Amino acid sequence: MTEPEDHELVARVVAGDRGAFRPLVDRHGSRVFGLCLALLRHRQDAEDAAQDAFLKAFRAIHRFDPRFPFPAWMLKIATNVCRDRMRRRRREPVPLEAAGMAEPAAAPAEEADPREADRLLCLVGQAVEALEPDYRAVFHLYHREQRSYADIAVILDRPMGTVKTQLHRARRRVCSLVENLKDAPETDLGVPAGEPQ
Amino acid sequence: MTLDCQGARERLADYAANDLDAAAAGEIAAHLAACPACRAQYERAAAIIRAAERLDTPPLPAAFADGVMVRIDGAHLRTNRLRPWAWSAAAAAAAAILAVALWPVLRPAGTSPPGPAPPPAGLSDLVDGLEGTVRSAGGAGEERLSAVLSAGEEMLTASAAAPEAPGGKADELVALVREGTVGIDEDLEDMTREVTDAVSEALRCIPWI
Repeated sequence: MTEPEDHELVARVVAGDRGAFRPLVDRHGSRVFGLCLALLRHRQDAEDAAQDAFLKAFRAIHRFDPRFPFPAWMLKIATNVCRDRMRRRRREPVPLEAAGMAEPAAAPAEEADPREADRLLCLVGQAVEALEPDYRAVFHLYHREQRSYADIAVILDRPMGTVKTQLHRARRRVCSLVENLKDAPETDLGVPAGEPQ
Repeated sequence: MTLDCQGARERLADYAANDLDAAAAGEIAAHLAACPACRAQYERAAAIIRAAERLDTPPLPAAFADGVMVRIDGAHLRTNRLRPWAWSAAAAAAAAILAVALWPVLRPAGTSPPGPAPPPAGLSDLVDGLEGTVRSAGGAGEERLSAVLSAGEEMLTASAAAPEAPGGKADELVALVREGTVGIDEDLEDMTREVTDAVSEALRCIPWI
């Protein structure tokens, strides 16, 4: 028996079947959490924000336009939830290491002789984390969520040209940071003076 | 035109991500074929982009979906408890706002400015109804909502006495009603926002507002 499509589940929820929302959470929870983590950089905050996003989606489900992909709609709601949180708290999110995170799941940088690929993965993770939130969101949605420019523009509520520019700069900055981190005896996550936004 | 190293390096990461149009990609490819230094840099950029696409997101806690469903169930219960009176309150507030906005055309003939106009018929009833529905709900928000409604009533009376600026008064009332519900209850806040958004949208369609 095939799994019901997102739109079928949404229709059931709209018709009053609250339980039909559960498979949508199971199916898309990880990507919503991933985006929240990319924006907030704090595991507990990201988990709370992802839950908030699903709760808001449930409340607004009757306004969901079935012509729009459900995952993109969810990511848009999650983006708004995270932006609200960042505005309200007005604090710099805690780096992943400080929050007890282990991302990426690779050999730690201080290991005596880590495999080069794992070390690169680790450095890239740190470089992405050091991006400004807008750049991080664009980078995450394109490279990790494989979203199109059009989707990203809708999700982040930005013109497509801005998305392209931010992604171009984010990639260059990640490459530049990794090059700098590679030779540094200790990792330095400070973002160098780069291009203006 | 031949691409120089600086121009090529500017776009190496985009090329590595396969995110350039055919013409630009062709220029880069031609440059890389002739420039070992840029080719080496491209290899590094490509490795970085590939690594970025392999980054893991930490797994969700097993109870994540359960947590969402518990919150949905909780919100559903609260909404069911609140909905009848909260919708009445929000709807009455909307009616009052509209009454203020429409007063210039609703007021009885012969009561044109600048002389003071009598309070619009039914406006006090609306305010009383609004206050009554809120009071019947009880709870921590009652006192604050009552204060907001008193302020709203004064505003309505003032608006009736000086109907030449109904639009501004309507906007003030929208803001007042919204502020009055913030922090009392998330569902009431959401409902009020929905209703006042709709009212604000409707007011924008009225030429004299």
